[in-house]
Amino acid sequence: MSAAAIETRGLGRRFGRVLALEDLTLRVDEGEVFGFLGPNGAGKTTTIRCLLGLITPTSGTASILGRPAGEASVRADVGYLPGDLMLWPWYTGAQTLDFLARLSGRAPGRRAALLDLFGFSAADLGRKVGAYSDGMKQKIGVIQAMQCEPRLILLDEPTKGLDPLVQQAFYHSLTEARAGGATIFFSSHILPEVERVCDRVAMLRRGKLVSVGSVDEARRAQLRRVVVRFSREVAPGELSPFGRIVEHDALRVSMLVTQADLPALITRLAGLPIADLEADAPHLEDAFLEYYK
Amino acid sequence: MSILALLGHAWRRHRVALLVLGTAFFLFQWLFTKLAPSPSQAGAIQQLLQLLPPAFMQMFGNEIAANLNPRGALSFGWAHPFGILLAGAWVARVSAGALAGEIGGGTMDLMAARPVPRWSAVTAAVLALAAGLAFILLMGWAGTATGIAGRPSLGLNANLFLRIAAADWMLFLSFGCIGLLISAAGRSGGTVLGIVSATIGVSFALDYLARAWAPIHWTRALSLFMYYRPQRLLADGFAPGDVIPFLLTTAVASTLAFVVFAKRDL
Repeated sequence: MSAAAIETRGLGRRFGRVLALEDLTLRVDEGEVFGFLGPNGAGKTTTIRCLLGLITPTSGTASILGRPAGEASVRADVGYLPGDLMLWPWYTGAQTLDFLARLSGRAPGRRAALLDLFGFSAADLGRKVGAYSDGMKQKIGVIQAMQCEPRLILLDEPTKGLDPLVQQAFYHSLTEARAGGATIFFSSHILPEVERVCDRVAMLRRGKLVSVGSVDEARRAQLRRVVVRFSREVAPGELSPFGRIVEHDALRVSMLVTQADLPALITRLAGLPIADLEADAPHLEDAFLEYYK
Repeated sequence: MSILALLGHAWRRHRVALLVLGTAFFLFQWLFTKLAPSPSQAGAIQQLLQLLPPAFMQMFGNEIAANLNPRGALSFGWAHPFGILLAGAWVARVSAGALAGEIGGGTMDLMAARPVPRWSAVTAAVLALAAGLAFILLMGWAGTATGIAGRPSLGLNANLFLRIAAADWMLFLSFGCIGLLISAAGRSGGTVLGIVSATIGVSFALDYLARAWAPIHWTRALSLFMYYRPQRLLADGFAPGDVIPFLLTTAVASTLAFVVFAKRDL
């Protein structure tokens, strides 16, 4: 078993009467790209802030890279992009990156490559951050999080404000960071990107972990929509043991079937007069909606 | 390492204000040396004052008379509200901006997510506060010294005014550490700026009113300005009573600022 980059046990945080995070037990292995999903207010940002020691958990423990979360020295190995990124408007882009690299105490070994990847020119870097567009600020945010080659990268909604082309550059930067051995933990609302880049995903709902597993497992656990057309009338009861029938008429049945029940359904359909069969590919989005509807 | 980086950050943030405040304080103290009466002028004005009604003299005249000599006039310049305003502006600006200002501006997350111990953020703020204050007050002293050098007839030793600058530094460092304590607990730089400015203003007003109005004379002890006595410093030098209240306030307020900031959620 590889070492844990992040490990939480019963982590919880209460803000007055509001329980923002409850009993979160989670392990992220080193080298993983881990997606953290949930609607607004699910507790994603609270989790990340507990991991960084920005807030103190009211219950449970957390460790990052084998050391207690909140210990200042461990943060030398961590890169972080806040969800609501704010920068110093009087700094230029270059001054921002220099200052944050100095605070990290590590050389910004990946800065040049990231600037190139995100299309930052010397002129852009020389401009005051206050004059940047939101997208430019977000790019600087991503670069500052990765420039010092941290072992663990925590990204809170990283593609917010990035146009599709820059998003591609961002995905590429994740691939490179991962190839360099970094662990990436990022929260997102954008499910296709999580599907695309993550090995595993966790889903939070109202501060509680509702699911954790590989993206494939999440997809497989999901109900698949199967639509069958028959050449002559078939009673829906013929298929009801294999899933939930959503709608039907004389010659067509639409139903939701678990991955596990699919083989039995297909065996049963083989004995029926099928004219056409459609089975949607499972999407993470379906799993997400299933948990949160 | 992180303290140096944070000091550099404070310098970039406050350098323009620092230079403006320092220059203004220099010019203000230099101007006072131009306005200060020479010993012969002071003697003539003293004689005129004797002609005022005794009731008026009892209320205001003694203070005026005490300042009607070169030494008194220049020491009055070091207790003038304009000088208080300049030093107070620095103290309020730096203490509010360092902790609560970064939190309110949303930039503290970027700094605190790095291997920067919380105590180093407070230490850097104290150092920036103290160094900037020293610069402003030394600029004021340079104004006094330049003016005295240009008016030998005043017959004053400029080095004596370093005592006042040092006491002024201790006074405002105390206010700065109180400001940092408020900032360590606050979430908005603007709010902290207002509270610190009000604290200095109320303290100054309290000292002034309590001196002028006997029934509230006892409230002077509540004001740090009571322990800042430029004229006495010039005459007698430092006594323990001129230093201990400032040292105590600075030590207690800064310690509490360290503790509060270390424990709080950002």
